[in-house]
Amino acid sequence: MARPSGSNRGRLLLVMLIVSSLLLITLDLRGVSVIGGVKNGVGTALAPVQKVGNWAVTPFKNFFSDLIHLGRTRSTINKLKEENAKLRSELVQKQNSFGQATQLKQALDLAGRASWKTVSAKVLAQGSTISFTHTITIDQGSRAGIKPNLTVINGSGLVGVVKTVFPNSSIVLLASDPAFKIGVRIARNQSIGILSGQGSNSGLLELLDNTAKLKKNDVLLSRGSTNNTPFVPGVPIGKVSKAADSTNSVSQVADVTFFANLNALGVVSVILKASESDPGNALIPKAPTPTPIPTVTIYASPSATASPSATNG
Amino acid sequence: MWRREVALSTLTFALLFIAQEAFVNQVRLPLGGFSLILLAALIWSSISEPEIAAVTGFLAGIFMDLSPSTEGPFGQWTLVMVISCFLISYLGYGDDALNSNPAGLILMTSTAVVATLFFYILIGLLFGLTLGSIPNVIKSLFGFGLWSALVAPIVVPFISRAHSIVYSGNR
Repeated sequence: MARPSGSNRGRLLLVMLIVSSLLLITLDLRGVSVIGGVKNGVGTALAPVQKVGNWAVTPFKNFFSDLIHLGRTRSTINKLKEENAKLRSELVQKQNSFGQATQLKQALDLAGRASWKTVSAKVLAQGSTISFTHTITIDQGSRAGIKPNLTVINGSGLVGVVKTVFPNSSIVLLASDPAFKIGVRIARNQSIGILSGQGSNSGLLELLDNTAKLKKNDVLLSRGSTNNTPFVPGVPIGKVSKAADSTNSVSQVADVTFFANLNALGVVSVILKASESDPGNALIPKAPTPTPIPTVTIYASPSATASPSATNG
Repeated sequence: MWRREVALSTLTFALLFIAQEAFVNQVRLPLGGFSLILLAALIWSSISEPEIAAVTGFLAGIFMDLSPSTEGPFGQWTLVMVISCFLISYLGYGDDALNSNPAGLILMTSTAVVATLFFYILIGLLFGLTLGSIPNVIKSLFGFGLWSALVAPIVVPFISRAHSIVYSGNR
């Protein structure tokens, strides 16, 4: 069969389709609301479908995950049980501290400890990486008070920022996305810089002040934005994993490992309202302290008389 | 003219789009994973005439642009898919060694996936797409190609069957 030389009708059709595509791009770039509306409608309609998909796929995901981590599952359960017990005890202490802080606040009319108003959401789907973006879809949207450009965190630290909001779901741009940028400060010396995503679970930090020195394990916190949008201050982000030699460079750069594991997100929280005061370094995760191992020393001293067993023999 | 075929193709790609969003996107696969709708559109096009392939690319591209996680302007994927689907059909048309041979078809579509993504990157750069480091992009392209080659043998029979049902009226 010979390759078609292309009929006039075929050529006309191809040109028409290309022109239509270019027209769509132009309309979208000019901000025609119809296209945005259609996309929003699709996002809204897809949320329940993604919920069903999540419900259907989760057992298989868990099964394969268990299969892969067969040896480690039992030890992980034991470790999680220990962590759970520890967290419960910490929670009781925190509740006690919170109660005391509230009383102090009422009595002295001073700002208490920083608190954020958050809404928790379940991760419905990971965004398709086919467009070279790193996003997740969460099951809370504008009906829960979520708006675009709100900070998203999990128990470990920063996760990303809300990009698009639908009534019952939202798209979150992850910190690993190459387009993601955030102003940060080093907790140790308060140097400021810009952290950008690299498409993996690590980011690239660029310090604005070249005289400041970076060290491995330096903790990074968010610097905060005007009116706390898109970022609230004081959110733990990650720690320096590798500081590049910057003797001859204009600015200092370093690789940063995110505290949050962005590849295994189950539940996240969206900060609806930040505290009025900057929490400063108060939210830095504490480094684990080694448990002291007791050592027993036995001093043996010879008795003055021989033991009976020795004399009987 | 093509009313029945276009309607059935739209329905097929709508179902693939829902499957992509509801199931495939739930799993974060190593090296980036694959796009079911992209793979299906390229397989569909490779066994179609160029005009049909261009229309298929247009339909699939619209669905890909509708995905909530898609970055870039609406229509970017449509443009890329029209051209890619037309080209895969045009270049492979009449080449029985590739089209009628399942291994050749899988090789051709996997290569086309990588070429399409590369084309998407080039167009995206014009619109200010942020890509990250070059090694990551290369790793992703390699991953998409690899996953497509792994998944294509499962997808090809279904797409071929759906294609023959949709265009059965013409034969």
